[in-house]
This record gives sequence, C-alpha cells and structure tokens, in this order.
Amino acid sequence: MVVSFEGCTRIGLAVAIGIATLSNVTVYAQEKRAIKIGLMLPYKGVYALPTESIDRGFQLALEEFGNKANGHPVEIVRADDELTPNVGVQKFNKFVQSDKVDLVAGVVGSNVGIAISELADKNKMPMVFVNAFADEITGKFCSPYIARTSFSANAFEYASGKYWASKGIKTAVTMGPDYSAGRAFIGGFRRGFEDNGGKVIEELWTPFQKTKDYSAALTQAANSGAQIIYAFYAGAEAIQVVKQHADFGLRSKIPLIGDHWVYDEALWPALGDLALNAQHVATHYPGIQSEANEKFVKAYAARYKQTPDVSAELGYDNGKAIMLTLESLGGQMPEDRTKFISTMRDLTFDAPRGKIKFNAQNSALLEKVYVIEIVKGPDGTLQRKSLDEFPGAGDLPGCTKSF
Amino acid sequence: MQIFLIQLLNGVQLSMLVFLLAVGLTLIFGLMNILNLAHGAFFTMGAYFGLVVANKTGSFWLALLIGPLLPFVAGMLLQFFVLQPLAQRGRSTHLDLALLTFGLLFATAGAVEYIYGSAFHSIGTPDLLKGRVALLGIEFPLYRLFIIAVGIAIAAALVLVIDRTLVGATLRAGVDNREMVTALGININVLFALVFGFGSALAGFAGIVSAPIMSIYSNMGIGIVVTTFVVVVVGGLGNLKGSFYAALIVGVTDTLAQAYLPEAELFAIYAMLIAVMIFRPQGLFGAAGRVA
Amino acid sequence: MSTDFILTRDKRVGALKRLPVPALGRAYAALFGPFAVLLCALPFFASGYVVTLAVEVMIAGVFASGINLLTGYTGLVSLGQAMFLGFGGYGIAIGTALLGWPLWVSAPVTLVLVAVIAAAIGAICTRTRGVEFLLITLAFSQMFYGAAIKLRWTNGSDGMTGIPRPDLSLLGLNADNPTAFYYYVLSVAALALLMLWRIVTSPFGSVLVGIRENERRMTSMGYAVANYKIGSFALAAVTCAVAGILQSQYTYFVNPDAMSWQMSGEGVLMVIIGGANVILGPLVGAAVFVVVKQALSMITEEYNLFFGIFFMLVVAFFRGGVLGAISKLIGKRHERA
Repeated sequence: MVVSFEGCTRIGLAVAIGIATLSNVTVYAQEKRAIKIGLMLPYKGVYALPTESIDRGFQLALEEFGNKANGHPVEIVRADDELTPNVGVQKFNKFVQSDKVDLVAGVVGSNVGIAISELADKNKMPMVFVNAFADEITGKFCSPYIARTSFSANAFEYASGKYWASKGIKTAVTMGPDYSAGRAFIGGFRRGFEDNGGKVIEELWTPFQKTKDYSAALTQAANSGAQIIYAFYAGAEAIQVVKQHADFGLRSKIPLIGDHWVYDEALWPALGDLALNAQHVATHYPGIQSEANEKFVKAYAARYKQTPDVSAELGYDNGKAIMLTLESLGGQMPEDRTKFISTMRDLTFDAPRGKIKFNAQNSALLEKVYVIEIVKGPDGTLQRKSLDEFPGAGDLPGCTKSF
Repeated sequence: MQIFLIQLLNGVQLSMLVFLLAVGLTLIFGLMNILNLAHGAFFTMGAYFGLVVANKTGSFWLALLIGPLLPFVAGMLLQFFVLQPLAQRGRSTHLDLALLTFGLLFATAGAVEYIYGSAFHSIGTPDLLKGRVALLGIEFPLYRLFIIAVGIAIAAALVLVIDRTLVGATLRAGVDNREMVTALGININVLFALVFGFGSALAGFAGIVSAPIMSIYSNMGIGIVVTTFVVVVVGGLGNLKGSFYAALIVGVTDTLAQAYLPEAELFAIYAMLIAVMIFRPQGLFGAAGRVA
Repeated sequence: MSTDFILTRDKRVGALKRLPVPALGRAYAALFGPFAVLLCALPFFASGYVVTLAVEVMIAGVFASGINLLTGYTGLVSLGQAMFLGFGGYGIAIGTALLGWPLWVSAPVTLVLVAVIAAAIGAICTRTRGVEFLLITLAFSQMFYGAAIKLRWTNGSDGMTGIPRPDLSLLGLNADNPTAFYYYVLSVAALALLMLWRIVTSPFGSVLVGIRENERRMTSMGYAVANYKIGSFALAAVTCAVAGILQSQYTYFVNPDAMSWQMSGEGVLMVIIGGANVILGPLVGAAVFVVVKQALSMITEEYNLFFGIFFMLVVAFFRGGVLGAISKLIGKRHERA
C-alpha cells in the first residue's frame, strides 16, 4: 500500500496559509482614514503595575484631543511585549504587517527597546518610546525613526548621585536588575555620585525577572560597610526588595535609597508602612504647582478616581507628544511617516512634570528632578512631599548618526 | 566569617523549600516511574488556594492547613484518571507522560493567569513569626528560620513514617518490586494516587510557605520545577533521603554562588547536575538500589 | 528503566521512507510541482503578513526538522534543542559584531563549531536514554541559558542586535526587503530539508531507525551504535543552528530566551503535531503551530494556557501527528477500494 502523504503536507500548508490570508482581510469604510497607533507595553509580569498607569495616562492624553488629529480618528492597537525582547520583535512585526499601524508608541523595558530599535529603523516606522530609559536607545541605537518622550537614565540618575553625594553620603553599595536599564540607571548614579566625591564600594546585580529572593545580595550589601544601598528596581521586584530589606532589619542599619520606582505610588498598597518616610528622587509628583500639572491631576482624578503616579505622567507625556506632532504635521499623517520624528523633535510643550524639549538625539530632556519624602497626610494616607528640586543632567553622547 | 554563616543559613532556607518540592517528585518517580514535570503546577495551585483562604480568613495558619488540599485532590485525580489509565492502556510510555505533564505545567500557569491575572500577590508573614533573631552578630528573620524548621520537621517525619510504619514498608516494597505489593492484596492504583496526591500537597504546601518571601504569581512553578529536578537527580531518582542531602547541596551552592560568584549563579547547579549524571548517574546518594 | 520509546507506532511510516516506490515517486513529483510553484510565487499574490508568517513557518520547520532527526528517527527525546538555536544566533552575532568577520565566514564557522560542541555534548548525553536523556539535555540547555544571561560581553540578558542579513546585491536584491528575505529563507530551508532527506534515506538513516526500533539488535549486528547516536545528535544540532541563524537574521537580534526550555518544548510539539519520523512532518507541524499561535494571539493573550492544553491534547490523543492521521485516512480509503 503506497500512500503519498507529502502531497497532503503541502495541501495542509497551503490551506493553513490560505486561512491566515483570509483572517487578515480588513475593510476600511471610513471617509478619513484612521491613524493607528500601536501601543506596546508589558501588561503582564513584573512591570504590570506601572504599565497600567502608563496606559491610563496615554489614553487620557488622547481623550484630551477627542481621539482625533486633524479630523482623522486616532485608534490605539495594543500589544503585550511581555518584557521579553523576542516577543516584542514578534509584536512589532505584527504591528507593521498585520495591524498596519502608522506609528508605534510605548515600550517600558530597555531590553525590548533595544531589540526593536533596529526593526523600527529598517522598517522606517516611527517609534516613540515612553520609557526605555537606557542611554543606548538614543545613543548607540539612535535613528531618525526613534524618539523618547521621557528622559535618559543618565539625565535622571546622574543628578540623583550628585544630590546624595551633596547630602554627606560618602559610600554606597548599589543593587539593580542585571539588564540594560538596570545597568544604565546604576551607571548614571555611580557617575554622578563619584564625580562629586562619593564612592561606590560594590555593585550587586540580580538576574532580571528571575530573582525572587534577594537575601544573598542583601546580606552582601549589609556587610559592605557602605552608608546606603542605592537601588533601582521597579514593579514587583521593587516590592520584594523593599520588603526583604526590612525583614532583615536593615532599615536602621543601611537604608535603601532609590528613585521613584522603588517607592512607586502604585506599590504603596503592597508596601504599607515601609514606604513611609522614604526619600527618593522623582520626575513628577502630584503637588507640582503649574497649570499643566494641575489640569492633568484633576483630569486624571476625574477619569480614574485616583491621583496619578509617575508612570501615569510618563504615559500622558507620550500620548500628548504624539498628538501634538500629529496636529502640527497637518494632513500629512498617515501618508508621510518620514517626517513624524523630525517634527516631534522640534516640539516644545508644557508637560505636568515641566517643559519638554528634545535634543539632537531625539530624546526628551529632563527639566527638573524633585527630591521627595513620603509622608502621612492629614487624612492619614501617604503623600509625596517635595523637599528640594534641581535640574536634570544631560544625555550621554553616543549617537554617531546625523539626522 | 559571620557573613558566610548567614549566607549558609540563606542557602539552607532555600534548600528546605526545594526539599518540600523534591520529596513528592522523587517519591512519584520512585514508585510510578513518572517524571512529573507538572510538579511546579501543584506548587502554584497550593499557593493560590492558600492565598484565597488567607484573604477570606485573614489567617496564614489556615491557609497553610487548607491550601494544600486542592493540590492533593488535583494530584490524586490526575494520577488516577489520567496518568494511570494512559500508562495502563500502553498508550504512552514514561516519556510521553513526561511530555504530557510538561503541557500541564504551562496550561496551569496560563489558567491561573486567566483567573487571577498576572499580578504579584503575597500572604503576609504571620504575627507570631514577624521579627528577627539576633544571630552571629546579625539579625536573621524569624520567618526564614521557621522555613528551615518546617523542612527539617517534615524530613524527620517522613523518615519515621517510611522506616517505621506499615505504610512506609508498603511504599518501600512498592519502589523495589511493584508486583509483590499487588500480590499482597493492596490496590496499587489507589496507593499510587494517594502518594501522587501527597507529593502534590507537599508542593502546594511549599508554595504557601514561600509566599511571604517570594510572592505568588502565575509563572512561579515553571522556574522552580527545574531546580527541583536538579535536586531529585543529584539525590538519586526515587531516593528520599538522598533528596534531602541533595536539596542542601543545591540550595547552598545556589546561594553561595549568588553571593560570592555571581557570574556562575545561573549555571552552577546545572553544571553540578551534569557532573553527577556523568560520574554517578544513580545520584550522589543512590546505593545499588533505590531507598525510598 | 525501559527505553523502548517509539513516538509513532505506525512503523510503516518509517519503513516507507527508506524504500521509495516508483509510483510514490510519481505521485510525489506531481504534487511537489504545484507546491513548489506555490511557494516560489507566494510573495506575488499573498499579503506581506502571510509572507512573514511563511518565513516564520520555514524557520520553525527547519528547527523542528533538526529535532525530528533526533527524536523521530533516532528515538531520543530532548528538551534542550533550543540551546543550538541559540548557538546559531550567538555564533553569527559574535562572529560579525564582536570579531568583525563577514557573514559568509561567520556562518560556516558557527556551524562547524556547533557540530564539534554538539558532538562533545552528544557523547555525554547519549550515554543516557529515556527520561534521563531528556533531563540531561535540559540541564545542558539550562546551563548555557544561564551562562548567556550572565555573560557581559554578549550583553547578558539583553542579547545582541545588529545581526546582518546576507548581502544579496550581486543578485540585485536587498535582504532587508521582506520578499527578498523570504526567498533567502526558502532557499536555505529547502537546502537544509534536502540534506536531511538525503541523510535519512541513506544507510546512515536506516541505522538510526534501526537503533530506535531495537538498539540491541543493531549492536549485535556490529554497528557502533554510540557513534551513530552522537552523529545524529550533532547533525540535529547543526540543523537547529541553521534555524537559529535564520531566526536571528529575521529579527536582527538574538538573546538568551532563544535557549529557554519552553522553546525546546515548542520544537518537540511541532514534531509531534507533524508526525515524528516523517521527513516533512516537522514543517507541517511548524505551519500548524505558527498559524494556531498567531490566530490565538489575535483572540487572547493567554498564550501559555493554550500552549499547554494544545500540548497535552497532542501528546495524549494525536499520536502520529497530522501526517500520520492523514496517511491513515488515505490508507483506509485505499484498502476499501
């Protein structure tokens, strides 16, 4: 009995591809074609908490413009990059080829950002990063198709290192997740700290997304003899580090100091009293007295029944920068993508956190850094109190292209 | 030196957690010849059920008591209604069962995520175990000492049961010679299901015990199951006492690597596993035969 | 422990491949023609997205074919083949980005190195069998996975970017163009599958099947069974590395996740879907897997749930795979006729 199943193989493949083709047919029936924004964020996993805020802030910005730019309706297509570069690459390809988006926004993890920067460049697809703070994103991997609406790790952390050195801290041990953003943040702190007389005794790195028990690293840190632990962690990892640091009784022995992600407002319910009296640097807090901020905090509270945290503000900036760019492009989007990023670079606007301008590498600059203490407000809830403010540092050089 | 001892304690604490998982896995393998890759799923299941109980009652102790029941029942059902019939129908070999449970591991993680989302949860440390003990000039969290105590207690209880009781004798006989136990008139399928359920319950128990430190999240079982395999193989497949010593070796190696040789932390235990498989394939503690 | 593990109990399938009958050859050619035309013409009528999917299917198909040589033909089930996927990607990344070698040097050097390393790993792993083989391959891949996450000069868990696609300017093409890249992948995949087909239809392939069916008999017949197993392990690894090179060129990127055990599991799943030990089975398995995965991702984000359920169902009920099922169907019809 001879059977030819190779033939069936091929028929099977053809059928499979056929099905895929059919599922891909979309019909547009609008008069003015919608502008599609692909919003890529890690909705699941260790950064799920800040991500939810980013998404809310982003939506709020679009709603402020009535979800329309020059009469074109603006649609969001969401994708979850799972904070995993491979997945990010797949989702980016899906955005480009299947969803046919006009630009891509979002991206929290620098690891994902680095992986897709090359794709954005090759596909000539505007990519507007919301976080992806690693300096390399707008340095080594810079491209005329890539911009970042937040700030670079160096701008934030160099300033932070300088501040803590000026407060009489002489020695520190650092802890951070071992990936591009962790390295960039801790590196920025170290430069700022050591340029101003401090000394980093030891750098401790924990495998990103793999570490749940920080006892080994915390024990090493406690024994380093440094005055403080300076840490960069976010989301679930931040909760674990802060809790375990307290479990080992290190709060009085060697304080854990970090930035607004370690003591992120989104984590307060989980941290409880551990957040109280923590001091950290931040790029935004709800109490900033400016028209843009008051309007934003009010609108956010009305829409989501809560005060915005740092991530919500960053999401809002991302959405707003995109909408303003779409408007100033006139009717050119979605037909002409090439001018999108260069138009955005010329943009200046008042964001809740301060004035946003872009540098030659398409990275937004950090106008101000705030020093915050978390205190109990009159109603017994935790609040952010500003102790001090100073300008952000500049970006690291590294972009060799000119555009 | 003090710090080294503290790191050792950290390592022992990790060891005891992994031991709770390894016991079930090694017993199941010893008795039923099933490489149960889904063992991590029961770890997750116990943790989430414990979380539900803790949220309802506010009691860590109730969670610890009731939480393992779900993995116990689920494990029994899996063995009795799925794995056993498949094996008996000659439908699947041991490898097929391993692959089937591989699928189950991911399906459970996905199902948990579907129901509970991907957020990280925690069960608070019980009041009784909050605080620290001054030890060797440094403070060590009481709860971590509790984990070490629990691990040792369970190991001791298991050794007593297996060495001194009728149930233990039956189990030992079952590992050595399955047919003989059947000949004694014991319903081997029920015994298998019970052991499978018990092993799963211990995994679930481990999930709850670890919750105050390590968080509860949907993929929690996928990573830890690989570490558990290292323990089970190093200790000798089916060797219960071996798995205790192996858990100590693996946990301490992993922690010390994190502290003193971070470059090697993610592969030290696998390198050790490979070395053991090359030079002592029966496991470090495996004598000629398996000793359950 | 017993080791008589056979993925497909339909032994005719394995036997048929080694004894092509002229009639089959004709039927084969008749169907192959249109299919080849379809594949070559795909970019002319299909949307860009379908072309991309086809690229993913072909890359996954090559990966699964490598696993199939080991699992389907030799009867060794590995949960660590993704390490060679990673070796392929890292090989050309290190060669081109760190050492500055051109791609046409990096790629062959990578494949030769993978063959050598795989032979060494295979010499260790193939001393075990059954679940122990599965565990030791898993241990090896986890070890390299962990090392890659920690290794600073390959950027740790971030991985390496800027992996070059081949320079096709001699043909007047730019490989950054999806269509040009499609033809590049099609040619490499066709070449890889052709070589695999030559291998499994050769006497060497017959020995592998013989080992799977009855290792003791092959030993007593005087075959150096150990060497054959190591050989098949190395060839499988090289095939997986080819897929790894293509994958990293497709995404311009490689990172340690390429070596995760879930990736290995996906490969095994594709082999089982397509029907182990049928030469084109893995390609069908890859097609089913990639299309189902894409379709699912449009409906739900719960990928793990469906991956797991899919995996269980396939293992429990769908033995012999899609091709096995189809061949059984056709077989029955012919018997009735």
